[in-house]
Amino acid sequence: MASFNIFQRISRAPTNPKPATISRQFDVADLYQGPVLTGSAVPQSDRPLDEKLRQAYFWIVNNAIVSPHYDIEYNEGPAQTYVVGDSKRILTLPSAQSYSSFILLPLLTFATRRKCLFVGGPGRGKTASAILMGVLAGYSVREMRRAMQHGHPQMTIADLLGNPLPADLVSAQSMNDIRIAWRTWLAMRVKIVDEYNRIPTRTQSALLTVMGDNYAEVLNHIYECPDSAWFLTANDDQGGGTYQVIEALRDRIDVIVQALPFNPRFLGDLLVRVEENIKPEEMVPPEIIFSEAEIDQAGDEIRGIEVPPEVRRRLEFFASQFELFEAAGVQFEYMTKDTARLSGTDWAQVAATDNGRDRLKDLGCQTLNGLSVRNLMTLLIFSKALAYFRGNRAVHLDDVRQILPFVLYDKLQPYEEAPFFALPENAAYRTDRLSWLRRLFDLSNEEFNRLDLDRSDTVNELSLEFSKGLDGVTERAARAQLARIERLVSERIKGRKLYGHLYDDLLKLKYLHQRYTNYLHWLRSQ
Amino acid sequence: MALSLALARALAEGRSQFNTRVVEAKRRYPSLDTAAFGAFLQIAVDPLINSVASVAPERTAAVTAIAYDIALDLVGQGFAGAGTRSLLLDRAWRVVTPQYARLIADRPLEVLGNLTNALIHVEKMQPRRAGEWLQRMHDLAPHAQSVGHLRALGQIAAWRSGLAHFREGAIRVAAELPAPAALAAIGAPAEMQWATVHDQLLANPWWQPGGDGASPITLGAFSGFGGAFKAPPELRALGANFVVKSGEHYNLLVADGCGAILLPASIEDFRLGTASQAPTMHGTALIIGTRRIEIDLPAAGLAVALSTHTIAVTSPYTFAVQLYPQL
Repeated sequence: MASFNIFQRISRAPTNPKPATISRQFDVADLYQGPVLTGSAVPQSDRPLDEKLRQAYFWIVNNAIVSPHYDIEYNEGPAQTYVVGDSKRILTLPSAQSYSSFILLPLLTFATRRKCLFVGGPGRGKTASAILMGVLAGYSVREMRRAMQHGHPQMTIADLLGNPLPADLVSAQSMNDIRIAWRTWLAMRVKIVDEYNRIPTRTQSALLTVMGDNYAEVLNHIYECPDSAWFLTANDDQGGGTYQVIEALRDRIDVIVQALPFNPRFLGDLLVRVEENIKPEEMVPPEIIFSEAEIDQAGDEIRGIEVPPEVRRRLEFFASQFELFEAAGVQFEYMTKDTARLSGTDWAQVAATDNGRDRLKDLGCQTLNGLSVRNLMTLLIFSKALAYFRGNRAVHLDDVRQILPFVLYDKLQPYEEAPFFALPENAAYRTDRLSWLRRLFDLSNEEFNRLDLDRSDTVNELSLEFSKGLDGVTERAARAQLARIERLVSERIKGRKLYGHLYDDLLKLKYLHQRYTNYLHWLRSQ
Repeated sequence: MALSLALARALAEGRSQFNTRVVEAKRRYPSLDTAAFGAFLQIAVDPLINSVASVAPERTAAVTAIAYDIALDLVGQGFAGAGTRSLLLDRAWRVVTPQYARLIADRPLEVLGNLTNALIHVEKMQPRRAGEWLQRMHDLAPHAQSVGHLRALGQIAAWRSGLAHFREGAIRVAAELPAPAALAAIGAPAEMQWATVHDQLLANPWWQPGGDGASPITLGAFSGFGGAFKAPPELRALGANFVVKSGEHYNLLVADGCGAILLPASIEDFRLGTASQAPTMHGTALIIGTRRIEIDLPAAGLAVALSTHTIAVTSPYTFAVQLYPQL
């Protein structure tokens, strides 16, 4: 008798059904699909890759990870909400398909070949989840376990990357004669570094080269690594490791996922595993394993997902909030938090001089830094990946809202002395950074709505006009645009208070002004 | 009621394994009703095993093992037993599967799986006509010489039981069957030529091989009374079919002489369709070309949509769609 395959069933129904299209209706295979598995199902190769990705997600949720938390919430229409406890926290029962970040984010990392850090206490499945991702890429559990790099305080660069061959070391006349025995994990498409915050600082630098530039170097020899998804784990990412993680290495990590605690209500599921002696990672169904070509194709398809201009505009508006630090500079361009940070001046002292604005309302006052280009690129690619995973062809604002906290988790640093955190209702945002980041995005969107920027955004109109090109623009038209820009600057600064989004608008207007000015110079020279 | 000797012996020989299967199934289906499973074994599996034992006694143990697993799955998922999701499954196993005993002896998983899955699908899509499908499969059993034949016969029977969207595929697979099997499956007299039947079927979806003219079909009713529509439906013709809008829901309506069925569709499909129009009336009769159709609905608001072969009539005073052949 065959086994019941308790852990090997994958979803045969569409995992995220959309309104049907007529071409789908006439599949006679439906007649013979049902509760009895006859082995004559529809060929799996016909599935779109986003469906395969969802099947992988649901297999993990239903079989591999006990007690998933649905913290990425989507709603279609109003959700059922409850106010719970003395702290009056909201419990939401989402009205649409919602997801568990602990599974979804690694899966999106896998599909986009980015870098994901699992944080959380020991025994919460961080390493097991990372191994699962390797299994999805077609490696065996044994291969993944052997290839996993375990951080420890004595880890050397040779431990990490490879050794020069001893015989060559003795006989070589030059560096080129020394052959290197590269570690096998460097060639893998899924790389796991367990407890990366226990790696000594010098070895971290070697790891940074592999993570950041995708090559390894030992004794002047270079090993080019293939594009791969990275999974790192840390018991405590807030400085509790053996070694402080160098900032550049932290910055290379694209998303951070927190392993949430086990809900004892699911103890029965653990009992089945104990009694059946089953390890889910050893029972991944072959239907959800991705070939290298499939991961390449999924990556291409993800990059092809559209970010509509209205979503992009809101993201621009959000990102504009944080870099301005009026008191840090004299010249307009240098009034940034980066200027203050580079000067090494005491932050609180500079911040104290920053007055006049509503520091509660100004979102920029809540952070110690702004967003880097890398952060924004990561945010875009993961928003696209989430939209792709949900079976959409364009990013929705909700996708950005859901993914944003995991991308900016340790990138946007809170300024805990800010008036926002002093309010009793906001005190918990000091510890719950994910919720704080999502709240920041919500507040930014509220301000965007208040300013009615969806309908009236003159700077955007000017940018669109400029993007059509200057070819054929007459001197008169260019002068009219310059006058319009100057008039707009005068109008925008009438309020006297400078906020982050206004600062970026003024810099954009300056840029446009400069381009038209240069064009006029060129026109006159003809 | 005692078990037949064949099943009792097969169960006794594999007792420990069969008991283990139940324990495993209880883990997978915590609400598994073992009493219902026992009853299903007795009522539904026993006649099958008895039939298999009479045609291929050496296969009894193997078929029992597979039938036992399938039965556990079906009871575990609520398709059999108390509060069953399928009203006809017991009957299918008790009455129909023994007719396929020889085929089941050779390919137990495929035959039992295909018969069971197809019945559940037909019950879901056309609950009132699933009994017809079952009866057809019972009658067609002598023509099923292989699993391929069985699947073809099942598809043709499903089409003739109201799954109108299977029509083209059913005609195609019928053409691959031996002519007597195809004629029997289509419901044509044995003395007819298959080529003639085939041509007629392709030419006119409303043609009936028995010689009777096709009857008009009434589809849908108010959802509050168990029907398909929350609001009086609005129709648009789309090629050979129609797209129905009722409230905010959209369906594809496929109709032919064997029945009519609603399938999921989208607002985009509806937009592609040709809108219904007010008909020409003569007293209480609709006049469409040379056709005159007596109708018992008020003339106000009547709308007619014409697909390639079908006339569909809707009215704001009814939740039903009336369907007539064009010729």
